[in-house]
Formats: sequence, C-alpha cells, structure tokens
Amino acid sequence: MDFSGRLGGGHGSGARRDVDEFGRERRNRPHHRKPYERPTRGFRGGRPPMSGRAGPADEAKEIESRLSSLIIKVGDKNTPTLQNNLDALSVVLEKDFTKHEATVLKTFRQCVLELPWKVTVYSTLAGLLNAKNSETGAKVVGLMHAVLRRELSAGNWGAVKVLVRFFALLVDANAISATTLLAMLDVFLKPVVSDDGTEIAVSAQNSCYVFIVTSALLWGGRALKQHAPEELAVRLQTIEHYVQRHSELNQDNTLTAVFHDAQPKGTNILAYQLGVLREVAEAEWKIDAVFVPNGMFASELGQATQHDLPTFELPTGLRSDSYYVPCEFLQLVPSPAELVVRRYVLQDLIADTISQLEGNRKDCAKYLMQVHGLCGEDVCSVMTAAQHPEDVDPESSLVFEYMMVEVLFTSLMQLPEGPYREMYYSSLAIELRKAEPQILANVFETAVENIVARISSFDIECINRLSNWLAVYLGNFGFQWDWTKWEGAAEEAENSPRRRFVEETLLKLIRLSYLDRIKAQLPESCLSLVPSKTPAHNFKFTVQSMDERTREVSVAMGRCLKNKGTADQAMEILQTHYSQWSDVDEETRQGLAREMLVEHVLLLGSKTFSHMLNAIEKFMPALQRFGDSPEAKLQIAQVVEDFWLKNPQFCAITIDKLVNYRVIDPATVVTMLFDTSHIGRWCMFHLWEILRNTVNKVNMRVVQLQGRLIVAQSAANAIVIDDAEQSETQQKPQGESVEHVEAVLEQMLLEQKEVVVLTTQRFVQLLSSNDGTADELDRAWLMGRFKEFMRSYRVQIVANTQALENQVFTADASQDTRQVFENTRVLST
Amino acid sequence: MTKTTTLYVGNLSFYTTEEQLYELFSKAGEIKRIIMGLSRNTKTPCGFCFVEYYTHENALECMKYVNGTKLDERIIRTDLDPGFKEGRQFGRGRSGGQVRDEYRQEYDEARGGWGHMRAKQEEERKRQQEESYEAIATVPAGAELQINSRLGPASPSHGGSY
Repeated sequence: MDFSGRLGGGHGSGARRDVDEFGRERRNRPHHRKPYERPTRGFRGGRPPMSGRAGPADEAKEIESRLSSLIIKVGDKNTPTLQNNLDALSVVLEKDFTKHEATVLKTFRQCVLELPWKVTVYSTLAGLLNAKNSETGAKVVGLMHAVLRRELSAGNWGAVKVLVRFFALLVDANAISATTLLAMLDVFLKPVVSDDGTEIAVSAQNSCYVFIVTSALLWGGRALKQHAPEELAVRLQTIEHYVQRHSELNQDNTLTAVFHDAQPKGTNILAYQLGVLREVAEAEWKIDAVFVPNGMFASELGQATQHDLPTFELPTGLRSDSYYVPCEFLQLVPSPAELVVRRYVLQDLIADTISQLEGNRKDCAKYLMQVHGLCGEDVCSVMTAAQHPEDVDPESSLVFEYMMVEVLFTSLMQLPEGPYREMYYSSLAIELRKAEPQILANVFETAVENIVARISSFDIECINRLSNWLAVYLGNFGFQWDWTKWEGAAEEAENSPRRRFVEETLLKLIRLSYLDRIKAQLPESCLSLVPSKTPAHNFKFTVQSMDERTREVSVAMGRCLKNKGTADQAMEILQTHYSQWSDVDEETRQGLAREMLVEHVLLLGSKTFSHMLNAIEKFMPALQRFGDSPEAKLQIAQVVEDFWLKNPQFCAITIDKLVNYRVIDPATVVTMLFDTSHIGRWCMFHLWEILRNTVNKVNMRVVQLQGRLIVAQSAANAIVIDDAEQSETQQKPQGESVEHVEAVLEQMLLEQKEVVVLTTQRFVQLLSSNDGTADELDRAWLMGRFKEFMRSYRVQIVANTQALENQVFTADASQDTRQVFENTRVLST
Repeated sequence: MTKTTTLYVGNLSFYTTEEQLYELFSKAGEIKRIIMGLSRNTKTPCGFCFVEYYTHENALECMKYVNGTKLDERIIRTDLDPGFKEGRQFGRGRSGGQVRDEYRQEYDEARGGWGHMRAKQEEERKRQQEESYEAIATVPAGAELQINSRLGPASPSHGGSY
C-alpha cells in the first residue's frame, strides 16, 4: 500500500527482525504486535537495544533512521538554534553521505515533496551540502531533477509546482546558476508564446504552466534580479501579456465563480497572483512571511560550485481537464488588506501541504498545524485553547487557523473540480479537529456560518458540496451543532437556498444515521425541517385503493413472489389475468402488467440494498422483456420514482442498478429527471445526484472500453508477430477481437453523445421557456445545475459542439444558456 | 491483493444498515455490492461487512479517506481484502458471531451488550443470584416489620412483595 509507507511510517523499527517467533514474515501493523513486544522507538535516550543480537547491519539501520529523522525535523521552527542545527546536520550528512547515500537521498526527496512549507530550509540544506562537497551537491540536485521529470511526465502538477519552487530557491543557495533556472522556466513558457513571439495562446495547459512559473518566480525572483535582471524582466513581461490576454477572454466568465457577490473574476486567479508578484518585486523581492535561512550562510554558500541541469520535455497529449486549475483562496473571514502578500504566501504553502500529503490525512493534519513554524513572531497569530474565539480579531492580524480552514474550503469548492475527492476534505477536517478539538470546532463553525450567511450568492454545486461535507463532519462529532442559528430557515420559502441547504444536510445526516437520532438533536423550532416519518416505500397496490380485478392480480403476484416464484411464473400470472381484460386495448394491458410487475419486484426488494439487487437480478428476464421500447423503459423508471418517492436514496440506488442491468437506458433516466412533473422542485438535490451518477457511469464505460481496446490491439499485434515467426501454426486470436471491442466502443460513444446532447437540450428547453420553472428561485436552481453539468462534462460538451450548435443552441435558446455554452468552450481550450 | 476491489469493514454497530454503509462508502466511488457479516446462528448482523467497488483505485481511496472515520458514532476500520467468498459472511466465533465478540470484556450497547463469554458469565451470575434469592422464600417476620416501619405505614401488599 503506497500510503502506509509515508513519512514517519517506518521509523523506530530499527532493531526488529524480519521474521516473527514462528519464522513467518512479519507484517508491519501495530495490531499484530504482541503485548510483550515493545517498539524499539521506546528505548530511553533513543539508544539501540543492549542485546548481543544487534549486529553491524542493525547498527547501520539505526543510524539511517536517525539521519532520516534529523532531516525530517530540521527547521520545524524558526528558532535561534536553526542556524547551528542546519550547519551541524550538513556536516553529519556530508560525512556519512557515501555510507548512507540511498537513505539520505530518499529522505531528502520525500521531505521536499511532502513538507513543502519547509522549502526554504531544504534548499539551504542542499546548498550547504553542495558547498561542503560539490559531488554530494551534484547528486542531490541531480536526484531532484530526475524526480521533477518523473512527476512532470505523470502530470502531477502539485508536485511539479513544489519542485520548481525548490529549484528557484537553489539559485539563491548558489547550487544552480541563474541561467539554469531560466532555461527551466523557459520550457514551461515556450508553449505560451508563438515562435515569432507575437501571439499569446490561452489554454488550460498554458494557465497551468504560467501558474507554476509565477509561483517559482515569487521565490526565485530575488536571485534572478541580482544575477540576470534583464532576463527576469523578459519572463515577467511574457507572464504579464499572458495574464492580460487571459483576463480579456475571461472577462465575464462566471462559470467557475464560487461566490457571485464578489467581483466576477472567474478563473482569473492569475491576475491576482501577478498582483502579489508585483508587490513582492517592489519590495526588492523580499518575502517576509517565511524565514529564508540562505542569508545566514551567505559567505559559505558563495564559494560553492553551481551545477548545470539538462533540459527536459513537457508531456504531450494530455486532456484539457487533466491540468492543474489555479484557483483563488476564498475569503471567508475578514483579514487585513495590507497583508495580502503574506496571506497569499502562507495560504499557498498550506494548499501545497494539503495537496502533497493527501496520501495520509493523519500526517497531513499533524504537519498542517506546524506550517506557521517558520514564520516570524509577528507574521500571524496562532490560536490557543485558553482564548475565547471572540478575543481573536482576524481584522487586525492574520490568524493561522482561519487561513488554514479557508484553504481547506477553497480546495473543497474548487470548480469545475478539485484534484481529490470531496471526502478527503471531510476526513482531513475531522483529523484537524481531533488534533485541536476546542480551537478548530469553533473555527470550522465560524467558517460554515459565514458561508451560509452569503448562501444566496454561493454557487449551487458548492451548496451541495458543503452540505455533503457538513453531514460527514457532524456525523463524526456526535451530530453536535447549534441548529438554533438556522431555525429561521423553517420560515423561509421551500426552495430558498438556506432552507434547502439546511434540509438537505439534515436528510444526509438521516441517511448516515437514522431519523430519531437526528430528531433528538434538533431544537423544537427546527423539527419542521426534517420528515415526520421514517423514509419508506410507496407501494401502489395497497388493499383500499383498487378495484376487484386489480386486487386479484396483485394478490396473485404477491403470493407468487413471496413463495419464491420465478420470473416465468410471474409472467404467466400477468398473462392469464390481463388477457381476460377485454375492455381495454393491448397497449394499456401491457402498461398495467408492466406497472404491476415492477411494483411487486420493488416491494420484494424493498428491505435492503442486497434484497433489492437480488430481486432485480432474479426478475431481470421479465423486466427486460417488458422494457422493450423507450416509452416502456420510461414507464419503468417512473414507477421506480413513484415507489421510492419518500426515500430518495433508494430511488437513486434502484435507478442506478437498473441502468447497470440495462433494464433502462441512460437516456431513460435523463427523460425521467427532466419530466415536467418536476417543475417547481429543481431545488431537490437527489435529482441531480441521479443525473451525475448516470452520466458518470456512461463516461466510465467509455473509458473502460478504451482500455479494453488497447489490450485487444496489443494482443492482436502480438499474435501477428507470432504468426510471422511461426506461420504454420494456425493460432486463433485469444481474448477479445479488436473489431468486436471497436464496435461496442462505437456504440457506447453514440450513447454518450445521446446523453450529453439530450441532457443539454432538456436544460436549455426548460430554461428558455416561461413554463419550465415555477418561479425565480426555481430557475436559479435549474440554472445552477445547468452550469454544473456544462463545466463538469466540458470535455464531452466540446467534443459534441457541432451537434449542440445545430440542435440545442438555436435561436430559441435563451441568451444566458448560450452564454454558459460559450464560457464552457473557453474553459476547455 | 494488489488489484483487489474489496474491503473488509470492521467495528460496526450491529444496528448499522446497508443503506448507511452505502451512503458513507459511496463517497469513495461507485459500490458494486455490500455483503453484511451475519451471525452463523441467528443470521443477524454481527458487526462487520464487505464492501466491493468496481475499481481498485476506489478501494484505495476508501482506505485513505473513510478508514478510521465514524459511522453510527463508532470508529470503523477498513482493510483491503482478497475478495469475498461464499461462507465468509458468517462470524467465526464459537457462538456464531465474530471472534472478537467472543472474548470482549467491556459492555458495548451497539454490539449486543456483553461479549459472548462474558454474556454467559453474566447470565450464570444472574441465575445464581436469582436462585439464592428465591431460596429465601419466606421473609422473616421481624424483617418485614422493620422495613414497614422505615417506610412508614405502607400497604401490606407492598411490604409483602420484598
């Protein structure tokens, strides 16, 4: 498992043997440890055990683990001893380098990648190693360069950004020359400007590159200004031109704005970042938020040898949505306006830490709390448990905890999508609060309340994300929350953003636990915000509400299914009964029989998710026979929706499984969702949960088939080679034939196109008509979901531009829907 | 193990439903199926389950994000599992439940109260207690007087019930 071996994971295991007392291989898990077996970390004074067994190999391991731990811990805090520590560590490392080269390099690599806020410390350490022994320096620099190339080809933009910043600081540490850094930055800037230097090409890729270069210049600018001021000016000008062109193109693009009450900046963080860069340049390129130890070793570093690095290639052929999308840090708590540079620098380091330590949220939470360690005393204040939250004034100084939580929410709310799953930010928040229960409970509460206070201008998808986040978060802390603050929501309109947010969050909480548990937590004034009864099914054929002959069929069906009847038996019952209904035509009879079957199958499977799967699987032949036309499929879907009217979770799961078993099509689901009966209810979250699941499923199938095609093709090629070698043996191709997979893929791509076009069409029709929405709020919800759909699936949208222009965005389409389409296309260039 | 899509999930409450599991675990990816761990004897949930995803990546993401968080107010534990096989849905403890519930010494409301061994001990203790109390079928007359005098003028039927 790649995430268990992260930083700090393997320490203290120095003297443990590799097999246990039974000669079996030891599994390195704490719960496998016997009570009498103490971890070696616990020996007093950190000395190795005194047993005679400790051979030279164990000693070497012990030394290596101590070296690693020294490298990891150096510079955790900006203390007066930092200079001595760094100096001593570089002496030790230099001395032992040849003996423990692999360990030292590995630890160094991990530290640079995973402890990004200490980049100033590690660049100085690399510089000192280089000054003491240029061979060692060459190895360290060479290794990091290899890591950069590897991360670059994998498209790990977070890591690339951190590494380029490290190289930028190496110039200041005199380990590489200014020209080497400039050559590196030029690789990133090359695609930005056309060959003759006149045209600027704005794209997702180039924005990502400009962002990486700007981040590096923030730290490397000082050295470049000193050694190559003219070259620096040229790079800055390129960036300025790019940002200007980018701003022009994105002027009114609010497609990815999280808050609509602020200045519409769209994706335009680059302009903001450039502003920070300008301010830093004006301050002689001096960054005062974080301590840079290079200055303390100026004379020693000055005598070092600089290394040259080979150039490298950028990856090609990546999809436009696989690049890092720079985004602006949300301002959720007021902060002093004059400290914008410090705030940016610290939040940038926090963001990198969250992103780089994603593999281990516990370590991430632990290290996040240390990020302010290298700040000077007056740079930001850190809350203490003894303080009352209201004693901290975020408007007079930067407050570390608020900045951290702002970054966490920025990542969670990143549009169109962040690099990691939403769940990461829930579990990271849980770890953070576990680490500092009192302080962070208040900080998170303030942040959420501040968002909810502005909720009418909050992006619709972000309301949904915040609701998911809050439900999981509260589920981990006993559902404790001051609901009285939102009790006013109960008085608001059904579809007001705040009321919807509170109600949907409570529904999520009920899904994660159960109704009575949540009710017990709510004040009287909020009880009207939760359903009065436990969510249940809505079986149509209850005894009171049907005529004699319908009851007969229903009773017969119920008995058959209860006694483990088969699909054939059920079909027979339907046939015998309905064939006697001579007063209705064949089509109506079919419809009635279909409804009867689906209702009973759903009832059979209504107990749990597994029961439901079993019921559908068992009656699949009958269901498929009944779903023989688009209309029939739609009827099945609508019966499901009606049956689970009061239990949206079951509705979503059932629909999902029916699509899996191909009883209904993705297009059926889309048609059902946009049915006119939902007008006035566009605010319900579960409708869009179903849409998302369906489109994701179609996209996933395409990706899987593309993978299968590659496998089939390479297998076919292998056979061709085989055949050429031994033409006599008539080998049948094994596995899937390329033609077959190609045919299936083509079919699937058509289906994908159908879903994308149909969904867009339904959105646009409803939004362009006066009857498509019930009122202004209803339209705002639908519009929000339309934007969500367009930006989430922008790759598929752009791939079908032609069809969409011809069929959907015609003269009948309203102006604002066409604007969204335009913005989507700009976003995905 | 390097490509598994299944997770073993432990330390669940006996009352946690499949739907609750579905809600939490689908946050790491689309779920293929959930198999509840059942007691061999009573065929009721006994505190563990298997969750199967469609892809290995989702299983890993679940390990990263969901493992160690709370469901139904209990910290749940997930482990990559080589894959579910028929029969593994049953507890392997002697009493039909999970082995760990066999020897558990603490009282755990959400996992059926005492561990099985302890439950038997408790039952035995209760039985003995009842036996030794029932052995004294007639309350000495003097004692009854004392009780009544302390309680004040109580009704005779109330005093007799002791």
